[in-house]
Amino acid sequence: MSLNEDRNDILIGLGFILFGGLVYYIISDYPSFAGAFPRLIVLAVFLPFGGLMTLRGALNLYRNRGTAKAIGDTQEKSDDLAVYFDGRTLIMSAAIIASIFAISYIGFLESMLLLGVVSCVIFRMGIIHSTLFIIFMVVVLYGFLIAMNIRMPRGALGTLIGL
Amino acid sequence: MDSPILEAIVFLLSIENLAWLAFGTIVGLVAGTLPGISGVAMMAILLPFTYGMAPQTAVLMLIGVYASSVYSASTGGILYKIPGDAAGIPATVEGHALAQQGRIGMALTSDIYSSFIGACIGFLGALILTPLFIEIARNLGTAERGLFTLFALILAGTGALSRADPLRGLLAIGIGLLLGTVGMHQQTGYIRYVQSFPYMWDGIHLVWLIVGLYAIPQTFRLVSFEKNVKGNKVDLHYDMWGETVVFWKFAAKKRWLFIRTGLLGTVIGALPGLGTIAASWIGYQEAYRSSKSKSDFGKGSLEGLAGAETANNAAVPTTLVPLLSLGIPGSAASALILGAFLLAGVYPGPQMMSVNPEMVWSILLGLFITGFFFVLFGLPFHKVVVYVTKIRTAYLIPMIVAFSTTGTYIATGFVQGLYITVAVGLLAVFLERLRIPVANVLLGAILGPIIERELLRAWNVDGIDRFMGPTALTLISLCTVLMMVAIWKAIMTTRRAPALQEES
Repeated sequence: MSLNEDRNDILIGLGFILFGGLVYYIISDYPSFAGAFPRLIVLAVFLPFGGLMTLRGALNLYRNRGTAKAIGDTQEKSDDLAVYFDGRTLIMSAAIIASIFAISYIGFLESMLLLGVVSCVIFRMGIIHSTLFIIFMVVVLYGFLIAMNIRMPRGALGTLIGL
Repeated sequence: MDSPILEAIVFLLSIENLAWLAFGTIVGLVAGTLPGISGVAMMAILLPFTYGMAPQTAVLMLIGVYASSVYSASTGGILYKIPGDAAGIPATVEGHALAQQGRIGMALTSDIYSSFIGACIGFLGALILTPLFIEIARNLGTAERGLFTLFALILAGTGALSRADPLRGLLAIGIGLLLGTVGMHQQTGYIRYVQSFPYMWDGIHLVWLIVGLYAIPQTFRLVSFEKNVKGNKVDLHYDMWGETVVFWKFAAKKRWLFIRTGLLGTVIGALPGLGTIAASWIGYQEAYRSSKSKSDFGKGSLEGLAGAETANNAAVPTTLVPLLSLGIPGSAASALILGAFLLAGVYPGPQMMSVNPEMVWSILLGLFITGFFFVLFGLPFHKVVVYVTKIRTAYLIPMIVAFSTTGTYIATGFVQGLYITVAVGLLAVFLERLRIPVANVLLGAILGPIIERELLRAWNVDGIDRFMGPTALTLISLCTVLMMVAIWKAIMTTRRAPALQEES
């Protein structure tokens, strides 16, 4: 456990307690049967285990005071597979989200085409490879939608490739 | 045809079903090998497209993806030291070391045949355990069913049998349970939280949840993995048949290692919350414990590779046992397979053996055929695996996003479903950063409504008396003990920190 982890434990624990309180407030006027299970979740999970997490973090922080960094635990292994956010990941993630939101405005194929272009630019792919890929992608998606008889949103602003 | 087993065999041997199983196996091989794409994520992408398919066919395809991705998760690890998912880590340690010694052929061949042996042992285990579990489940009433589901959920959440942080696991379950309460309350019809959003009155659709929790973070993760594969060069010229003969001689000599690790994997797979990752590590530890050449471990031990791969592939068939017999998924992969059942309007559980016994048998026998398929496709796949891993992230991401959004949209026909999926995806990334397991969120969201329905129904019938039977009381005691273990583990973590500091 490192000091950062202890602070994280405290923040996560407090976060869950606050979240539990918020949920409890929202469901306070629900009929008894409809509100029973959510209330139970707050009282039996969020509050006690959020509290325990805060307590664990605080105790560790107290015991590790004055130490810059303690040894890492075994869970760090699993972090190798977690998302690591650098500049490129952030830009690409934003592009993915934007392309999904754009579907209802400019249509499905158009927004996927744009995502393909953005992806090739961000990863600095060669112009010929990028062009070939984008043509391939649009043909595959168009063929797939036709073959499966799927009608995706055309977009409020009209469509270039009508489906 | 009188025999359900015969009906299942006829069903399985149809060209269409074999083709779907083969398709699932090939997709799983590719998904497991590609760094950043796991079998579970691929199942999440494919799940919405199972609409309209016969439930057995959909499940067979997903089983093909799951089983072959568990095997191929270690292929990328052996080649580049980048496993497809955490279940491939022990095999990566030994397999990559073997590859660096110029024994890549031995590593890849042992990997595939050990997986095959594991799959066969796991299949036999599933064949024995499923009817046994079904018999037990038939004797459970509503209160017991609800409490048993709760017990399975707590077992998964606390990580009581693994080394996961119980507090994070239980809080993740809590988030899942809360997500499961969104929308119309089954008994009263009251709309919870989302009165102003009619498209959410039926709750958070399973497809939105699955694609959000698995496919969306996976696309973000792919960006992080791009730099790892570029520039790696691997020579895959080896004598496949020569290595096969060498492996089977090794297997004959070490047959008890395979049997022990296979049986361990089989048992671990049947326990909710453990699954292939735990099986992989326990198989590896068993190989180390029983080895006469312990010094080889970490430097390219064939026993370590074989132990880990036999155990994790043996766990694959038995992860389906709680699902088929009790209707309770014990892992993220079996939750996705439950999703395929639910989308087809089939509710797995003890009644399946009476109502659709051929369905249970076709799934169990399908697991066996999958084992043969991943050997059949996996051996030639080794020759092209380098090209598969070279597919650039720039091309993969738009394709994954396109297919995920198509699947999500056709599940309900609401554009808003896409937005909810993105929101769930961002929540999953946030939770991953806090090391809160998203698999538990999915289990909580799926099992929550079952627990609420069964417990409330039992309460309505007979009040507190309904929970006073011996089985119900035993289950309540087990749940309490598990929770106490979780609290004890949390306290032990606070005590361990200073000791670790001294060591460091």
